[in-house]
Amino acid sequence: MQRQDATADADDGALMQRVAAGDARALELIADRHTPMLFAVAWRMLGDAAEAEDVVQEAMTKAWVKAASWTPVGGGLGGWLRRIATNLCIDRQRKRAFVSDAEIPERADESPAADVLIDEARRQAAVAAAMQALPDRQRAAIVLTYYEGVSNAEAAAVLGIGVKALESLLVRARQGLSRSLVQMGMLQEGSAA
Amino acid sequence: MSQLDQMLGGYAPPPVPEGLAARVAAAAIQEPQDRGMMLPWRRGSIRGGWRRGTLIGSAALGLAFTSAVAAEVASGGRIEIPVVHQMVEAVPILKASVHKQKPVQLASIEPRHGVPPSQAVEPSSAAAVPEEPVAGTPRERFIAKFTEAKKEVAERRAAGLPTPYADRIERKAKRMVERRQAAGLPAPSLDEAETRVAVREWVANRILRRVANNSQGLTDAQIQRFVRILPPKKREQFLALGQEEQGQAMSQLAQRVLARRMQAQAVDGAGPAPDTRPTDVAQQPTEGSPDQPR
Repeated sequence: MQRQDATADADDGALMQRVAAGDARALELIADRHTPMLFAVAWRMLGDAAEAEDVVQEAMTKAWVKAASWTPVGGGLGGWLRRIATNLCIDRQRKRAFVSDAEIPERADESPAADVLIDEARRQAAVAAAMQALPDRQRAAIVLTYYEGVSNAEAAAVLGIGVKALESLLVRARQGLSRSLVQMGMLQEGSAA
Repeated sequence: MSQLDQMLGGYAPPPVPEGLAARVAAAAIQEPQDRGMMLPWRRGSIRGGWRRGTLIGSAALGLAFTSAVAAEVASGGRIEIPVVHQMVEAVPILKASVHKQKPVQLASIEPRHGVPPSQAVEPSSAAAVPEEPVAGTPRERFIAKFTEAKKEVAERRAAGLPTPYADRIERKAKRMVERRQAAGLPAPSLDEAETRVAVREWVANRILRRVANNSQGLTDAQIQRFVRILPPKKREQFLALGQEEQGQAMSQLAQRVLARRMQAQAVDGAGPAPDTRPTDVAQQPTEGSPDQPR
């Protein structure tokens, strides 16, 4: 029992060393720690719980397969997994782009009718629709910096761009969100700033 | 906080499905793990890997091209790489350095041993410079030596010295030309016929010596070559034998043929002793050094 507690308290670096040695228990602990974060990132990026689960699954599989090549730099294991998940989400969004529009219902249409929603749920559906209307990289920039609290430098590294480019993405993302929400009547024009 | 930030703050994900962490961990461990550190040149699965591969490929191509140009320029044009050569030709500075050949000092020909200095012929410019470069194969080297030897034979004849082997080759070549002319077949020139006869004898002698000295370790290729020089009737008898018997038969036959040839040379009275191998192509055109086993 003591050993199990010690294992649970081990830091990510030690756990990854054990994962690299083929320790399944260590991977379970890592999954326990990071699955909520990965699921949140994936859900906000994709707007779909089933797809978010798939992304978490793929990210964890990569962590297991590539454990030997992981080095504790940058944002640590969390940063590495977040980067994997973000890139998997962007890949999925790009694949979606090749599918016919007819197969993808509009996000706004998915939300229940406004008159039967309580205000909170209605607002959330509107934000979800606005988020999904953003280009992939703008959405990733918002998710990483706003929701995950990642620094601009780290988010820029995840997206493979410079900090200035990330800041530009963020500005355009906020403008896009404001525009969408104003069009949906959820936001008054000029109140976004 | 702006109204937009307030709205974004309300965009919360649903709760994590129960047991998701355990499920993803259980599924992940089914996959085989990569062992060892990922090498830099095998990072194709990583984002941007194609860019790295392209860069490495371009660098390698550039290096190969630079090396090819350097090789051609440094070799003074001896090494010609087709595409590179065309480009080098197009650049005046490179072209000049490529075509700058070093002057070649020709070796002077010393008079042969045993020939009185008065009978030694002055080497002509044509004799000093070989008409064709000596090629790499033993056969080509033999032909080159034979061509050189014919000049020396001419000198010996002019000096009144005997040239029994050259005479024999000449007789055989004449007979060959006459036979072909009589049969209405296209006949080679006498020079060409002499070269053919000499090469044929050289090949036959080489095979005979090898076979006579080594009946056990004969290869299939040696047997095939030996079969080619046999007359049709003997060829059939020979092919009917087993492999070991073939080796013994080849060895015995080769020894007999060699002995007969040596006897014939001894009867001519000008040949070398049977147990010595002539090394002078002028004296023995068909037994020159190119047939040394390699």
